[in-house]
Amino acid sequence: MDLVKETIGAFPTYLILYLSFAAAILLFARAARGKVRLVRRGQPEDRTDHTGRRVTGLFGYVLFQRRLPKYKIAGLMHMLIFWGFLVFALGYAFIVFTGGELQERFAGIGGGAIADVYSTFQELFGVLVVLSVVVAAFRRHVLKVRRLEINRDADLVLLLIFLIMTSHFLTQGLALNLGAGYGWTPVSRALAGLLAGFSDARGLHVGVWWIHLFLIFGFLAYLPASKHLHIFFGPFNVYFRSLRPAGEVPLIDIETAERFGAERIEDFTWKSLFDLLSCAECGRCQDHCPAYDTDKPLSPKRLLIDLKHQLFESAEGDDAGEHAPLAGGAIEEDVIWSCTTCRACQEQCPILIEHVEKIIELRRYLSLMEGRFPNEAKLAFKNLETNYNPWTIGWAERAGWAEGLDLETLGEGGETDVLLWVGCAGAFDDRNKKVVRALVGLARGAGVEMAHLGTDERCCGDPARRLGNEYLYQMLAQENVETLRGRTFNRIVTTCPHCLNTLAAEYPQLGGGFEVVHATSFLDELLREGRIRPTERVQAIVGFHDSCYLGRYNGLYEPPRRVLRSIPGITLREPKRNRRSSFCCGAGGGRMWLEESIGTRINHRRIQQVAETGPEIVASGCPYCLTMFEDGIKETERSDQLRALDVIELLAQSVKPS
Amino acid sequence: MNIVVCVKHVPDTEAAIKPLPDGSGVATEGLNYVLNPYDEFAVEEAVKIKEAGGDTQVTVITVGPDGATKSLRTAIAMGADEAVHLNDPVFLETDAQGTAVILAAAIQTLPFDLILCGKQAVDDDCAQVGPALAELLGIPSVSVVTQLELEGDGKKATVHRELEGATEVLECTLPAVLTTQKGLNEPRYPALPMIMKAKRKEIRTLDASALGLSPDAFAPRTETVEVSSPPPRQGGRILEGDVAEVVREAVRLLKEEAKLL
Amino acid sequence: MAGEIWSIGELRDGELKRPSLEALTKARALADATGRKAALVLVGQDLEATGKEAAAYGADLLYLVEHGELAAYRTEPHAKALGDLASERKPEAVLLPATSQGKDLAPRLAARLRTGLATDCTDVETDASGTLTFTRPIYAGKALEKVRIPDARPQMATLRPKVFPVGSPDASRQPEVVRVTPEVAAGAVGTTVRETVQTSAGRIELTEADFIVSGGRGLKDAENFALLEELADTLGAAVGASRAAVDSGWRDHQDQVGQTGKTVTPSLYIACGISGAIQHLAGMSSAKCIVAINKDPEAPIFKVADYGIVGDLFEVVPALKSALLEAKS
Repeated sequence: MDLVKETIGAFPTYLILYLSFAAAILLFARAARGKVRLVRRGQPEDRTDHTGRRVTGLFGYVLFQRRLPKYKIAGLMHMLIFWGFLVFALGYAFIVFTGGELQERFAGIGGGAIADVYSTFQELFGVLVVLSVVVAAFRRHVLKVRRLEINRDADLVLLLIFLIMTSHFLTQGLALNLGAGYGWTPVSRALAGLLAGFSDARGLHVGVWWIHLFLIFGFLAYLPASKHLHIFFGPFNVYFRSLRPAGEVPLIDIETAERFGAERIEDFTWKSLFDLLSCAECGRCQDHCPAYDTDKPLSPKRLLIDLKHQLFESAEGDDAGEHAPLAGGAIEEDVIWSCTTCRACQEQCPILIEHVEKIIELRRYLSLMEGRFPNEAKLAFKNLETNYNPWTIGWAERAGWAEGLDLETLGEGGETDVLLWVGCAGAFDDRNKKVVRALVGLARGAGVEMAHLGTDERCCGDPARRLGNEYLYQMLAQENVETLRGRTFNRIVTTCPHCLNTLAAEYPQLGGGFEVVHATSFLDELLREGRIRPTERVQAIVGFHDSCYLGRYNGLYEPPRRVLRSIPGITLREPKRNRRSSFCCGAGGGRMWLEESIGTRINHRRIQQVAETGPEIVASGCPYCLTMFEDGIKETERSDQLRALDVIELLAQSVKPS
Repeated sequence: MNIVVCVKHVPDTEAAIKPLPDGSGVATEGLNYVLNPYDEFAVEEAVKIKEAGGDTQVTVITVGPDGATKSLRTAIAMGADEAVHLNDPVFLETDAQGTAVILAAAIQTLPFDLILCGKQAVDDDCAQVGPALAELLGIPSVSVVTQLELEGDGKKATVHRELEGATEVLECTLPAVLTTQKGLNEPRYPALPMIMKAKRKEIRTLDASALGLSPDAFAPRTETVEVSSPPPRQGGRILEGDVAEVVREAVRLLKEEAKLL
Repeated sequence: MAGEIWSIGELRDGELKRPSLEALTKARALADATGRKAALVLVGQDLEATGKEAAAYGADLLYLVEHGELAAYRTEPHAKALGDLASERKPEAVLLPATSQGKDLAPRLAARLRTGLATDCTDVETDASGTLTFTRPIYAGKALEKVRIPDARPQMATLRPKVFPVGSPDASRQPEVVRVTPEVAAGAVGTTVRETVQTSAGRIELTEADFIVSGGRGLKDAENFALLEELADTLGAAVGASRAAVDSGWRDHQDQVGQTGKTVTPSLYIACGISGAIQHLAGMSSAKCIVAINKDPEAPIFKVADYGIVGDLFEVVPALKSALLEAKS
């Protein structure tokens, strides 16, 4: 018996159904279209390449909810609600398009197996969804989980889902009393028992069913005004995700561009704006943000919400033109400069929103259009311009670190196997010079032919680019690309993940397609080939810190660990937040060159985290991290308990000098 | 109001400076040149006055070789309106006083209510051009200015001037030459659109004959006889031992060797 | 009659400052070497007593250029008065101390006299005839140049203070006193001094200070900076701090020296309890003379210090202060 069909079968009922459905759809479509129109005000960007890969991503990230499981309860909850939604959506679609229930349509096939299975699934997921929603409300209102805000939208969504599910169970219970029903439905049966007394079961069923339906339609119409719209936009967001290397920032054509960076909301690309509409305000980005964690005004979630509001506001009063620039207006400057570009936010986001690029665009506006940035950056920029390093040190001294090493300087036209890219820290900072020298020693011992650029090497440009000074970055990068192209080598090895990232992922934009390898990967390779033999015991418990630009940006979690494990006597003790959820040292995003005056220190927080598991040494593969840890250890007075070392140094300690 | 800013194109302060083997000068090969840091304060001050309102034109002027256009463009990117390049090989052979003569000749052809220049150039460290220029133009000068306020009518200025251990507050009638000191303002970092515009700006170039100057007029009165390196830093003398002895030795060294006390 | 060697004296609060005596001593030496007369020239009002006392340091002649309008130093009238006198008396050379006044006056005077000027000299030599060779630092002291003024007269120079010695005064010296009363039109001068504000009893501004005493993590506490302040007082120095000290809240950010603080170029920088990390060095490495006090002999600061004292700063700093006070007296 197809109760649904009966309910809606007669005129004018089905007319009411379809009209109200049409109305809901229209309202939804109009509102959604309005949002999409807003998005289209953004700048063009091609996100349609690699269709195959994009579609495959949908399976992983959307259908299988790839980023959710690690969140345990919250993740499970969401997966259940999502899959529950899919199960029910199938049934509703059937009703709308065929005018009858799915179970009834397939009742004759396979002895009713399909009908039974589907009903069972509905029952199962119905229960799970209700439980999940209750748990969700509990977490939001009772546990008051930090990243979950209490607002009407969130509550309304949970309430609607709850009501839709309970009204579903009610209709099922009533239907059972009327003789309809398939599959294993214990809850519905229990309800049926409770409702058995009602005289006009049919009338009640119809009534509850319509309520159920209008709840659904109402939800549909409400969606565009809610963060729950992420169920619609989210999959598109995943589809249109960036397939570029993680560390690649878009190139500005300085000669032709009239505007630099994002002054107004329309200066962002359409995809960047699409991100804003896809955000479910889950707050996981905020949870993992080192700036937010140390009381800076930056919250990635807040940034997205604020930008979204700006997008909506820009629709009103349209070309009224006189909107104040975002940076310094709707978005505080401190918010913009607090970011370390660590990418923890992006790594966590279940629908792959790209937070960092928005910060970079806002910084570009401030740096390039206004020349306005923290004062310390001015000096760093001037130094980069005139002496090709952020410190106030003459460029002629860049090769001083190699004194006594007799390392070949590769001139124009020169050839070598491995080109050592030293980086500014390795070249000028006493502490980091030791690391580069250690690398040279190890490479020599392994019989590797290696040379460096001497004073022809300039800063890779990462600090300039990350602080928004694209012009200065391009000046440095173009010179470096030319210098590199004038030499022949098999690959570049560098100790600095920022140099690694810029040379490998970003120099191709300017004509430089070089093979670049991080020193720890290089050493890992040599170890596996047996060309380096760590024979001396280094007895120590080591906490390895995953540097942002080595780990999250370039996926290099295991090579440095393998190097450490190859050293006899070393025991690895992982910090709680490791690999993808590692916590930044605070120096990325050009912040190495800025003062940290708000809140507490990011490097102090990280040292605390690493120290929790009681290692004697905190090891990393990045000169910034090393510097921040040296400072952090001293400042938190842990000098007696903890030492900071680079992985390369530890390996060097274990290798007998040849 | 018309403001003229005199600037110089000089090697960056971190550059490695070495005398030529024959001691005739400093090796300039491979040096990076920038706008003289003290002149940046002058340019910034002029642009600030312009931005404060009123009809103000800022002209930046330099005596320098071809490459000096880079510094002129830096000044334009900061906000200067016009640039004049006094470019003639003969100009480069004169000294500070001669440079003042050349500048005076050029500036006299321009309208000016205020002339600003850095207190000294970080290459020759002469600190002469400003006051000498004022003398040749017959106008007042105040050197090492750390604060500048124009009176409403643009005919007077109140300036703060740095002395040893004190600040002098003076009133100065305009036009006048003021030489600028660190602390006068925070020179801006030029915005990229300004940098791009400055690249395309046309610079007026004048040589000796265009100025109607005969070489005698600006012939150098000083001549450099030799350029050498200072005695190498005795670097890193570690004093160890009994505290009282060590500090006495330190004081002695500061007095007699470093000649600081 | 061979031209005189003049030294222009600078008066402050009626007193002739030490740099003027250094210049006079040098003028005396040059005069002796070339058989000329040395003169002390003073411009101002009621100069006789001061002039006679100062002349004991080597003046054969004492020029007193007196006028009410010249009592306080102003560039134009002083330059005019001296210019007129020099045009009349045609000295061979004119020396001034390279103080703020001297550096202000000399270029204007040289322009007026259409002569050459060597500024901030650290040495002056002469040949028998009186042609002088001036040695002066260029490129912030990274190089030295020797300069001559072959034809133009008088040969002018400003001398860097604290470089040239002061001779012993000869009280028996009786200089010939020449009084000059120039014409000074009151309204013709473009500048008027409104007031002179002594730098607050607090501190000299860091970026302009010639001497700086700076403290870092080794100070351990805000109160301990009092030690540095005492040392600074003895030297007439400003007090700076490394980032570590500022971050710990011991000093204000205004006092921070380094990459993200201030860049300073003093003649003397005394770094106490500062390790010398690169960010700090970026702010003070162009100091002419660096003294480091640190108990860690491996501290990087010792690599850039001219004089390094390995020791406990809590012992060394007070001892240094005493030694300095001793030397002063």
